[in-house]
Amino acid sequence: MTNFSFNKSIDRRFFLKGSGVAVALPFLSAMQPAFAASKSSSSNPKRFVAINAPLGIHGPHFFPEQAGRDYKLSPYLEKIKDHRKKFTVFSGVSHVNQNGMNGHSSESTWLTAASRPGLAGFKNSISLDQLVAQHTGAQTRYPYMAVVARGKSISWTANGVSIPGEGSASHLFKKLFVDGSQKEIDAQVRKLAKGKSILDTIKNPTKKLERSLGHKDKEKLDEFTTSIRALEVRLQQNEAWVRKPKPKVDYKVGKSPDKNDIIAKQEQLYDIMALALQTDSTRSITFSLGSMNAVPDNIKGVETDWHNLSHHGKDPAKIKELKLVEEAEFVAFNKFLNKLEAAKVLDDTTVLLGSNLGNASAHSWKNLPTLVVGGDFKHGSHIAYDTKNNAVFANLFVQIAHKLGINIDSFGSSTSTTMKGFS
Amino acid sequence: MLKLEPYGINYKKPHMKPKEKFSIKTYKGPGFALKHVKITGPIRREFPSKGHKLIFDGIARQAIPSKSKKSPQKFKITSTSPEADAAKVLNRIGQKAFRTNDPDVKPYVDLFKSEMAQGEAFEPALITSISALLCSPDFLYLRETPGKLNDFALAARLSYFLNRTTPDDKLLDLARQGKLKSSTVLNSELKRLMKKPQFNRFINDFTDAWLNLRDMDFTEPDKTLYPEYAAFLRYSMPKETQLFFKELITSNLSVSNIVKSDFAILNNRLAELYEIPNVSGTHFRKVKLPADTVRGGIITHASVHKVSANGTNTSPVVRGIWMLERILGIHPPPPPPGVPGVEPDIRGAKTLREILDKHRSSPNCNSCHTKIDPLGFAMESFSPIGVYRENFRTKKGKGQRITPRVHGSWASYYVGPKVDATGAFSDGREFNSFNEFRNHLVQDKKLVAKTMAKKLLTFATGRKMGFSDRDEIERIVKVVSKNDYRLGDIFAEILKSKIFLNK
Repeated sequence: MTNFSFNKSIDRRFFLKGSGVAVALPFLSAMQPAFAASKSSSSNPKRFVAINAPLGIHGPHFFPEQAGRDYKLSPYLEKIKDHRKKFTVFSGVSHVNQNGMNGHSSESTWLTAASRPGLAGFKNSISLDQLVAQHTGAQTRYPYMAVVARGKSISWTANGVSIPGEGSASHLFKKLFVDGSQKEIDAQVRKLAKGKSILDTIKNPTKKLERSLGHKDKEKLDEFTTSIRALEVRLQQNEAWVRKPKPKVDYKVGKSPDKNDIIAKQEQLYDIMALALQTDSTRSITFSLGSMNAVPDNIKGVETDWHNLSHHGKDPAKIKELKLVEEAEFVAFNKFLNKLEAAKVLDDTTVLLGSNLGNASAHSWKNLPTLVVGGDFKHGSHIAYDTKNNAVFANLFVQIAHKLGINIDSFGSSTSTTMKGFS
Repeated sequence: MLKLEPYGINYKKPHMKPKEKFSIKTYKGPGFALKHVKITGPIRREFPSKGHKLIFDGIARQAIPSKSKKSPQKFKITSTSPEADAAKVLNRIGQKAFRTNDPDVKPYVDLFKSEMAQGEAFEPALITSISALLCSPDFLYLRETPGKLNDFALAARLSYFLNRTTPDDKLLDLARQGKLKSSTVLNSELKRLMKKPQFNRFINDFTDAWLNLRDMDFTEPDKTLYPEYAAFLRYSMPKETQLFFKELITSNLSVSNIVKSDFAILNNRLAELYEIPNVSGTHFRKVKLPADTVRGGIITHASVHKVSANGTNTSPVVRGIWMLERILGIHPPPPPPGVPGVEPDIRGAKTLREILDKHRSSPNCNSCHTKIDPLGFAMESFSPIGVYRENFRTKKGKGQRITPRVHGSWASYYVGPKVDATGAFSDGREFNSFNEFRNHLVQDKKLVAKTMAKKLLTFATGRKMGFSDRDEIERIVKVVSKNDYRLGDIFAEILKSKIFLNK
């Protein structure tokens, strides 16, 4: 099995190898020679990646003790120390009013900043990655990717509908990089045409129904019409892309890892995500690191199931095991960052990593572990806000959106367009 | 899926030290050997199948001569008048899918025609137009116009309520004849739909939502503290609750059984967990309970104790709210912003009740917590997997070390602090044990009946009950109060209610 080489700039032939056909490929930033000035210029595509740990990240192992630039690395940040100049760690941030249906409800609002998740009358709103996709989606084969190691994705449509996550590396790889045979492509084209005529057919019945409805029902039906419209756009876009050959990468997806081997799973998906970004197949990715009620026993020294470990109840033995799991996750994350760096896309990619739980053992949604890596920010500090009276997390979303060239005044529960001390 | 597991023999548990592993090799008890298992399928109960008939009935087909005797008979559709046939088929499916007598299927017939015009064969063209029909909002949304429901909307509401699917032929016929609104017909339909196997879908979906049984696997109990928890017990837990709830409905028993009952529906595994003697065999059956037991009633079911705890510990607050909302139908407001939650500490020194005491002393918190906590304190008598306990189990501590072998699993825990299941309701009624608590709570059966009426109506209509529904719910409760708040009666009254018959 050969792995993709991330260490040097990529030869254009690399992409064409084996394709048999000479095709014009978009000139990707990843293909710029290594010695060329790779400082992000305005012409480079801006990308966004959001990564959430639904089972929390143990705060005492994540947050540095000192604020400012001269902080001492915490055990977890130690694992990504090579990128220290390119990340900012935040403490004392949280979303507004995250009391929800149960202790884990805030998973659904981590990237949307809606309040009261799952309680009566709750309706979710758009997640940041989808906002990004709305702005950048037309330029890539896939407007977004919602990836999950396990469980549900953290992406939500503008109507507050959950977007299903993809957890199979081989499916993703196939979608991104494997061209179908001519027969398959023709079948795909026919399928798209059929899909379009099906959508055309149901337009009139939908209009008819809409006319007969009251206000509240109209709102409900709007979810349907919006998704139909979105699907239409997708079909059109797919039609434009279906005959274009996919980028070629020298990477083989390994066997799908053991069910409980969460780290191998995360690494495999990180690989695909890095490839998707550097081939400009998408510019917006979410990744849920997953949760599990089983023992990740491929990690040496771990004997207790993962969810249980997050509910450590201050038991030092459990916290020790939890550390082994989370350190391994940060090692995997570091490899991902290395790949983005080697492919020279990190400076154009804003990576937001964190958790919707500040203290998973108590299901607390305050003081969320939060990290921003890459993109066009001034990095290198630990920006520490009040851990009791938290700064509004959604303000960071507005700031990120601005950096990506998306002009919005507010997002979710935001109260400002910047985070104090961050630029 | 077929899963065969040697019950009680812990042959592979990664968290155990090798010398503690209890393997099949050292097992000396009785056993039996399976030499092979044969699975055959697919099982065709009938051909053509129901779905096949729905689509292709009345259209000529030709048998394709098959080469070997073993391969199934294949057919080719040979329609002589494709358009007329397609219109007939789409109308038939439309009636079913749109739950109406005169579905507007013209758009789908037009799609069929245009597919044919583009050179498609009959069958794929038909499939495309059926796909479109099933993408239609007329199928995906239940159509109810404000005011009194028409017969078809009522048929749909009944069917989705009790059978969780589109109305069957009998219901559609009754709707067509305009007979469904008569209360005698509604009553006999209620009985009929409850006898259908699809009624189990209602039982499962409703208990999933009402009691939150859908979260059975949300947490995995700590294996060293709760070695009893294994696949067979996991399987048995929700089953007990579903069967028990069904029994309350079909035998028309009082809602007081939800709180306290003189019987349970058990198999050997649950009986063992509950320490109920003389129940052998894996099948579920009705068991008369001894007088002094803490069991009997849904609030004593292990399933409920499991979903209202996290894997490692229980919280009186979480369980108190669970009881208040799901059994008594009272919804306390969320905690005011800025109040930190309590953090559980399983190291053994303090119980959560002790940690909570501080929390409760503030008058701000106290107004709600006097209602929430007593219910939770009583429920502390049950561990996260539903074992009755007088002491907590802890991972470390001064207490005695216990190393039981439970169905092949070795465990090791310490006898922790005593469970304090005493308390007082906010109206002053005191209790010193779970059983005393339960004897008080069962007096509140009117409240339980009201909760049931509300939850069932919410489930049936798909909307939240509001202020304007209050009188009608009170009326239902008053009617059923005359005969001890029986669950079957509540169903019958719901079907007669304005809330159910109107939008």
